[in-house]
Amino acid sequence: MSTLVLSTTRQRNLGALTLIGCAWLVFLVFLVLPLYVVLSEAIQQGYASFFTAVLEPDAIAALKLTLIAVGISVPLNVVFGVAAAWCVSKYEFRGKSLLVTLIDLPFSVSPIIAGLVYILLFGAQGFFGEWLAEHDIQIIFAIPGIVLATLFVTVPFVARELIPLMQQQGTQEEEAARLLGASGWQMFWHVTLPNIRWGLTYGVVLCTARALGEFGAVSVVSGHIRGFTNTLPLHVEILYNEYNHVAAFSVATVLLVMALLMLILKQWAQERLEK
Amino acid sequence: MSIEVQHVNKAFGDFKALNEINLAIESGELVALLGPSGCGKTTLLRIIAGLEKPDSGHIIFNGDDVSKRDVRKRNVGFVFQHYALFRHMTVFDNVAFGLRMKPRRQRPSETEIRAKVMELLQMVQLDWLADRYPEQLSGGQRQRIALARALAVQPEILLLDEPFGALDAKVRKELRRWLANLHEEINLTSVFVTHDQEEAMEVADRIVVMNKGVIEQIGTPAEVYENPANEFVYHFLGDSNQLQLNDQQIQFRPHEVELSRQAAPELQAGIVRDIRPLGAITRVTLKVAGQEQPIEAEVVRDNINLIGLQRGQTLFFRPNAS
Repeated sequence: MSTLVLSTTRQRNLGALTLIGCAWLVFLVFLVLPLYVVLSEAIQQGYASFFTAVLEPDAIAALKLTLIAVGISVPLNVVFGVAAAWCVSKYEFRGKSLLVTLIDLPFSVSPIIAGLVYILLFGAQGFFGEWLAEHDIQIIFAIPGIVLATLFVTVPFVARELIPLMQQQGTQEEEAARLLGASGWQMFWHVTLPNIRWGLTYGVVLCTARALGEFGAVSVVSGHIRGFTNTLPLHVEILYNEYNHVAAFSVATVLLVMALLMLILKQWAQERLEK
Repeated sequence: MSIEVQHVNKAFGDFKALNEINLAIESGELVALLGPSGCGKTTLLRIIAGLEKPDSGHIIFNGDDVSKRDVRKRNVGFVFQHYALFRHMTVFDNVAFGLRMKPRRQRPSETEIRAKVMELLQMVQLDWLADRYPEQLSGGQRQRIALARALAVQPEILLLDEPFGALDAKVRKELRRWLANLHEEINLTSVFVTHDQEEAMEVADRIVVMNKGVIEQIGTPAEVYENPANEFVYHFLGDSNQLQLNDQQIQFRPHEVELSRQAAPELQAGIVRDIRPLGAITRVTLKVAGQEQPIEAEVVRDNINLIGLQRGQTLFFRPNAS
């Protein structure tokens, strides 16, 4: 009897170990190895060439542009995400499920298509093209286009994170706050926001990570003007296409470091969220 | 402060939650809204509080029509079934919330707030928990904190939605006695919702029995129990037996029964199925020939007929409804 029990546990352990081993293997081959390659390529000609590539004016300009795009799109998404999650979780209204589906649209649409849509709308031959030209407003091949494209692809992150959280928390604490005399704003600031803060942080981190790395949509609307409309991912691509591998991987390393930083922040927020 | 509910109707889609509700609650009264789940009692409470808008009708506090008044201006204390304490705040901050949210000119100083909050926490006997968070408290403690929080803003009306519904039986009993005592002390017009008739009978001055969106009866606990307005009220307020006598159907409460070991012309025979000592009383379940439903008889534990009584024996009984 006891040997039987022993052998089944051993079998289960063996099965579990195999699965865990496979997971690690996939993780190593598909994630760690590429990271290692990026790093080793970046510093293969020494740290000097790494820093030259990273501190070159075009790279700095690309970094700045990326940060601008992140700096504008993330706060806007926070406002939109909180507002949308609030509507969806605290009120009943017509077209609610449609709204929830639409929030997910950027997940399902290819970023290239998002970029093309903006060209069709705001480009020289586009829907608003004439009007924009008359008023001397440049959107496509300029910073506004890049910000718009980044906004489009990052819309779902904050809202998606908050909707289930707020639905689960319900409305009773808000009602209690109202009954105790709190104004709408006081209720939001003192009750709603503290309750969603870790979910919000998590959403913001994911949103930032995506905004930093966005390539497809931005690539279509940017026009690839070095030093002006190149974001970091686009800059990496240009360098790579010019066979400047060391520089390409050096700039890629900068992106990588930022991504890892976001990952650590994400983990930190998640742990607090689960508490 | 008195509350008047006039011609209130409320529907959710096709479902009629409240149908022409009229109710007058006097100042200082403790009233229970009693009914099965889905009868509209919670909706009525939420309409009085201003959390829900009636489709038609009026809510009047002390002669003032408050139907259009916003929740935060109605000055009612509200206690939720699941407490709704602010989970990220300490017990102290929860109780202080209402005072801190007041407009700057009316807001007491932090020292005054501290004194007031500690006074309330002492009243609910939980001042030693001031620095804890809600999740560290038991259900009964949470509900008392919720009550202290509601009382902090000195409401003129206290509304409680199934306040003991989520608590276990013993805590429930303690807490409702405590609430009744508290009501004696502070004498605040209070309305509480419950589906538990025992709770309503034990705590309330008057009971409003509701069913399917209408009020079936309003009266003191004794009135509704002894003179139920209809079948529904009779059945909802306590257990009852049905006995087929010749061609007549008789209803009586388990305690409205006389037992005997000897047969007599006016007595019915029943076979003892079960004997349950329940503290002060003992419940005997009897099977009567020719009827499906057993008869439950509740008698004092030292009733002479119980001595040596065994299952399977025959006992004779007679309903003696007053």
